[in-house]
Amino acid sequence: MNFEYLRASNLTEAVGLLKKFEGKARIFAGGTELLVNMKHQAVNPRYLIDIKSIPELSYIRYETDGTLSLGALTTVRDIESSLEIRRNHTILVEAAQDIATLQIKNMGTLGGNLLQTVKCPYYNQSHVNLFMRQSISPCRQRGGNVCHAAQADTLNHAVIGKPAGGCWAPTASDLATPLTALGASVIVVGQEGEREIPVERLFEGGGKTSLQMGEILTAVKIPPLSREAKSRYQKYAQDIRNFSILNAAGVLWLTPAGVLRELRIVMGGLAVIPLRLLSLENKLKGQKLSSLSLDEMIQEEWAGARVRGDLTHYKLEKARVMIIDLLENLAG
Amino acid sequence: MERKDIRLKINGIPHEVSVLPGEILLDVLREKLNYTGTKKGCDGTGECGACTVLMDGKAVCSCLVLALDAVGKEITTIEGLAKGTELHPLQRAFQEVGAVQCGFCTPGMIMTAKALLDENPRATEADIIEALRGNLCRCTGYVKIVQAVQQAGKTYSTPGTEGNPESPIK
Repeated sequence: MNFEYLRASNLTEAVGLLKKFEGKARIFAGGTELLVNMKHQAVNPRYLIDIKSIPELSYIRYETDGTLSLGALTTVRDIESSLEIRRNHTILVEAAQDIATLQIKNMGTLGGNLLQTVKCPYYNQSHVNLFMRQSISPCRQRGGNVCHAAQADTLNHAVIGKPAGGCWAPTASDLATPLTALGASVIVVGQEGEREIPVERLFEGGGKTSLQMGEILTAVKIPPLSREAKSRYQKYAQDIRNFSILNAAGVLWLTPAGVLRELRIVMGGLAVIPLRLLSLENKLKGQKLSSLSLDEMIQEEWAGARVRGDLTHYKLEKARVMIIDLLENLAG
Repeated sequence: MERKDIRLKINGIPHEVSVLPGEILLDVLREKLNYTGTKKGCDGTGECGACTVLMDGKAVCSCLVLALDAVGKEITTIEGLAKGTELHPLQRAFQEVGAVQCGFCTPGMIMTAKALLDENPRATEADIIEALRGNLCRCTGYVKIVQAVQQAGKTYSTPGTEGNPESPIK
C-alpha cells in the first residue's frame, strides 16, 4: 500500500486537505473497511487524511429535549456500551450488538459504518495482474459493465426495486436501518459549509451516498424517542458476525387500547437501500394488530419482486416472517 | 513517501522503529520487533482475530492498525502477559483445561479474553461466546476455549485468590 499519510487536527484542515487532493484522497477513520479495500486494490488513494485526532467528532450527547447527537467518530462499541443509548434509543444498541466482531467494533466508527461501500462477493475479485490472476471480469463498481449478481439466485442481493447504476448489492450498513426508522439525519461539512441530510435520503445504492465530493460526515442526529414508543431490531445473517442478509427495524406507538397509532418499519437487504415499508405502515395504522391478516398484507408488498430461484424465494419468505415476528413482538 | 521514525510502546517497553505510512502494526510487531506471538491468519483483512492485540486495553485487529496509529498507545501482546515464568491466569487456564491444539488462534483468543475479563470479571458463558465472536479456531470447536476463559474468570473475581493483580476486585 503506497500512500502519504496526513493527519488533520481540526475539521477545517480536513476539509481543506480533501479539496486540495481532490479525487486522490480518502478520509481515514477506523480503517476497518478502507485498509482492507486498499489491500485488495479495490481503491488506491494517494493520500489518507486521518481524522481520528479531531476531538469534536467523537461524542455521545443527549440534548435537553431528548435529541441524541452522535459524533461520526463514535465507535460502534461506544454505541453498544452506552447506558444512556440503551435506555433512550435501545434499538441502536440492539443493532450495534449484532455488528461484526468486538475487534471491529472497537475501531469501526458510526460514520464509517454508514458510508461503507457494498459487500457483494462479486465485487472484490482480483483485477491485478489481469491475465495471470483475474477470476471474473470487473463489475460496474470496478469500472466494468456487468453485474454478476443481476441474474444470479443469491441471498446477498436486492430482490425488490431497481438496481443502482446497474448494481444490485444492498446497503451494507446495519445501523442504516434503525436510523432510518428513527427518522435520523446526518450532518455533513464541506467547502460550502454544513448541511443536514435525512438518513432516508442519504443512501443512493451501489455504495453511493448523497455526500458530495469533498464533504465529511461529522455527526448523526436522532430525534427523541418517547418512553411509550416500542422498538425492536432484528438481523438475519449467515452467523451474526457477517453482513446482514436481512435486517429489520420497527418503531411503533400504541394507544392504551392497543391500536397502532403510528409505526415505522424499515428493512435492509431487500432493496439496494434501506426500504421503508410505507404502504404496509399505512394499512396497519389505526388498526389493532390482532384483527389483521398480516400474511396477505405483506405479500402485497412483494409484488414485482425479482425471484430468480430458491434462494431469492426464501429471502422473501424470511423477510415476511421477520416482519410478522417483529410486529407481534411489539404489538401482539 | 518518507519513512518516519516513531516510538511504539509494546508491553510497557518503548521501541524505536522506522516505518512507511502503509506499514501495518501486525507486520511491524512480527517482522521488525520480533513479537511473533501475534499471528496473521486471514492475510490482514480483520476476519479471523489471530492478530488481536490490546490497544489502550481494547481488543483490536493489529492487521488493520497502521503502525503510525499505534504511536502514543499502550500496546499489549501475548508476550506481555506472563511475568517471567509466572503465567497469567488465562494462560494457565488454557493449559490446564486443554484449550490449545495447534495454538495458532490461541494468542488472539487470550488477548480478547483478557480484554473481556479486565472489563467484566464476572463474564458469563454467553458473554464469553459473544466476545470471542471475532476469533476463529479451526481445531478445537471452541468448547474448551470458553471453559478456559470461564476458569480464568474465577480467579479474577474471587477475592484472595492468586488472581490477576490488575483485577479491580482486591
